Amino acid sequence: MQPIVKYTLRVCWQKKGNAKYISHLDTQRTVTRALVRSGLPLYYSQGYNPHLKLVFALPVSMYQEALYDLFDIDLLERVDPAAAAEAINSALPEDMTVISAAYPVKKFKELVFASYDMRLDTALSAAEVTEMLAGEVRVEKKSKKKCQVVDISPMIKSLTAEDTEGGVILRPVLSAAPDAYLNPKYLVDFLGDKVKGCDTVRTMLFDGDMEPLK
Amino acid sequence: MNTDRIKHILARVEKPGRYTGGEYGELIKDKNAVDLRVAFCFPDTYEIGMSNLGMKILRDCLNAKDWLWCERCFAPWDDMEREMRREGVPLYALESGDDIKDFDIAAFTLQYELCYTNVVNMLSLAGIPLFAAERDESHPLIIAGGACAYNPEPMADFVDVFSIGEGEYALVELCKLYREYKKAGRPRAEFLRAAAKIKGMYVPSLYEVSYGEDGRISDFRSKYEDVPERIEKTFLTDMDSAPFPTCYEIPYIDTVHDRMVLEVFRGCIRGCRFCQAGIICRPVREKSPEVLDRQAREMYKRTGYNEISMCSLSISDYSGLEGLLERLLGWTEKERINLSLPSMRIDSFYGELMEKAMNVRQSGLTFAPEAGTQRLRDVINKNISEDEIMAGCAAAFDRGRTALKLYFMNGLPTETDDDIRGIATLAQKIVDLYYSKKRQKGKGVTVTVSVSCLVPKPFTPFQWMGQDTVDELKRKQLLLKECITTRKIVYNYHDSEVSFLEAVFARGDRRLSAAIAEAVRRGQRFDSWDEFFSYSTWTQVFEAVGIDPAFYANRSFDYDERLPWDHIDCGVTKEFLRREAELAVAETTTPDCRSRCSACGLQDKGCTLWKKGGAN
Repeated sequence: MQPIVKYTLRVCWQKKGNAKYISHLDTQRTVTRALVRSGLPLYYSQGYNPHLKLVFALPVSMYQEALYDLFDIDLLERVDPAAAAEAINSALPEDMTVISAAYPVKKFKELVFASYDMRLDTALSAAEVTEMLAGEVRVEKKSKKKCQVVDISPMIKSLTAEDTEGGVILRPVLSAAPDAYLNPKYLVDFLGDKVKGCDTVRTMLFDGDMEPLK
Repeated sequence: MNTDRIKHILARVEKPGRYTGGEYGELIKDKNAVDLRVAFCFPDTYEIGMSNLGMKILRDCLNAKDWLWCERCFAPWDDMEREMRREGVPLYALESGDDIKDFDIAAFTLQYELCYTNVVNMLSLAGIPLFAAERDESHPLIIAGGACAYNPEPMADFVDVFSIGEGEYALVELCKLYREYKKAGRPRAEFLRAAAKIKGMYVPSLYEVSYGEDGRISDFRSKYEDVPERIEKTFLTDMDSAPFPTCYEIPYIDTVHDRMVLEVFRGCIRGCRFCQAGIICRPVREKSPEVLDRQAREMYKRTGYNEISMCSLSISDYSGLEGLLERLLGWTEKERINLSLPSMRIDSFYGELMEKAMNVRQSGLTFAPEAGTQRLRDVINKNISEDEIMAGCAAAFDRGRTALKLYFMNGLPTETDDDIRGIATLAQKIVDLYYSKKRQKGKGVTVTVSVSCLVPKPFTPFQWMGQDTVDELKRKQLLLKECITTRKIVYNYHDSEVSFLEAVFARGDRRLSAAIAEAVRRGQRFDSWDEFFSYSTWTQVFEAVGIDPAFYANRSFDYDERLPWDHIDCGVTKEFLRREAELAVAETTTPDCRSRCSACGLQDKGCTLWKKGGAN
């Protein structure tokens, strides 16, 4: 049997508003159905249980929004990316929006950093927040296997903070490499009870040279 | 909807995606541009309600009117309810996020008796007075429909108007009337009086019930001359032209039936004597394969689902099944869409096409012999012989199936211990059949025996018969357990206490409204969920309100007794049901409607089988 020629299309999209309450598994299913509805020539795996080849660069956690997220989808034909972006976008719910599509420049594993806007509901000032996060940042980090206290400060590339009405806007750039991903919620955990709530929006994904991942 | 006011709550509850709306396909209208706002309330979780086809159909019919916006509302899970009550957030609709108490109409669907507490609890959560008598035109009109509305009495004190039968057109009619009265600013009482004149609409407050010293109903009559004594159900006559939604919200989160549902036909040619749906959904009305194929294609294009579930009672009785499957398989295979055929009869045609149509990934098949012996199957008019059961199982094994699930019932009328033992014997025979055949090496068989308890339902031949007591049902369940000696048979059975409560409400009258209100006051809800059902609470509730639940569940009603639901006309006559009840006791079967018309009462009211030569 001749191997099937596949074309990987990279879709840049946003997950906003109420979509932040949707888990990654549910997001995957939603995107899958949108792709089917889009009418694009989708590639299906050739096994017993055919499925799409759909890969997300770095899914945001529940309760977080993303202004910049990427997924790759394998197609059977080389299509016009702009038309594909339009087709997928019209098949997505309102809170999920495609910004653009293109053929990939880099691999997902070249992802190194991600930037965030974190709107903290707190009585702390920007200066205090910056001060607290300047030294060691020891938090309890949970993984599937274990729970340990680690210093996450090496995973914070940079951060700025700004006073705003009702709190502080924190803008960190955090490690997002496949083997060293830091969930921004740990910063909130570290700040403790003084933060009553936090709206987190991921703003960009970067490669090692701090160029937007494309 | 805008979720700002509940943002902090959503961060604390499980599966917040149930409470935010915003799914693909959600219908948003300009609320200032409509005359009437309806909240379609499903008294169970989002996952269950979003799987319900009836709700989709009816919302679609209502939303087809540009002067009306019908939104969705589901029962919040208890973690969400706690948060809502603590923060003072009333029940709201998913599309606009607006409070239900500000809607014109809240429409509840009653799918099963154990959701009654949820309906009342949702009213309480919405901040709407629970009892109809406490409400006026400043509150939403509370209406209800669905299968349980055929005996509306237990919910009579809470609901303003019940819609009996199929609501596609009747509901629109009711809304039109409400719009008129709202515009004219006329009082609620006047509206209710007028609503009672629409076919299929039942306004319980316009009727008076008296009871005899023995507790039985002595009289039931309408309070006014212009209010009909009997309420006739409404139903569609032509399914091909029936409204059918092909475009609807695609849930973000996983729901119970997260797939396309294609309604193939309504009604059932069988006359199983325990089955309420088989009676109240009469007459049989089929859609044509062409229409179904077109609807399926359209649904696929608009939803992107990869499974079509065909929906009907007893799907293998659809006269166009082969043609339909051929048409569907012509394109679904290519699109990688699975078909699923639920409710197959074991004696049905089980050919290549059928096998092809069934989900290849599932190794099991489910059949429902319902009773363990031929005698008892004749009593319930299942019209399946043991040979047919064995042939069906053999065909399934020959095609490589190794897991069979069999549904049975306990507590059927005239049931003896031999009938119970017969279930074990039958299951064992099926296991032996598997091992008598040439089979794949190393592959064992699993026969799952799932036994429920009979709940005698209104509008069935068994409506007069008392349910076995909880103790008797438990004894029978244990007896069967002792009869099963192999681990190749997996035995499950239903909680008899749950079935008892179902029977109380299924055969109850309006005095039970007090028990429902009291149960809700004590925190009962989600009674159909194991984690919330509490038999002891219910026992205390009945005691507190002075009601003997056995009076409704376990007592056999006299044939000439006035039944709580006698004012509802489901199309099938009481004479037919009684005839069938007597035939049951005589262990005599009645042929299906295609073989011979049994004059159930619908033969001159739109039944087409009768005209097609089934008549005699």
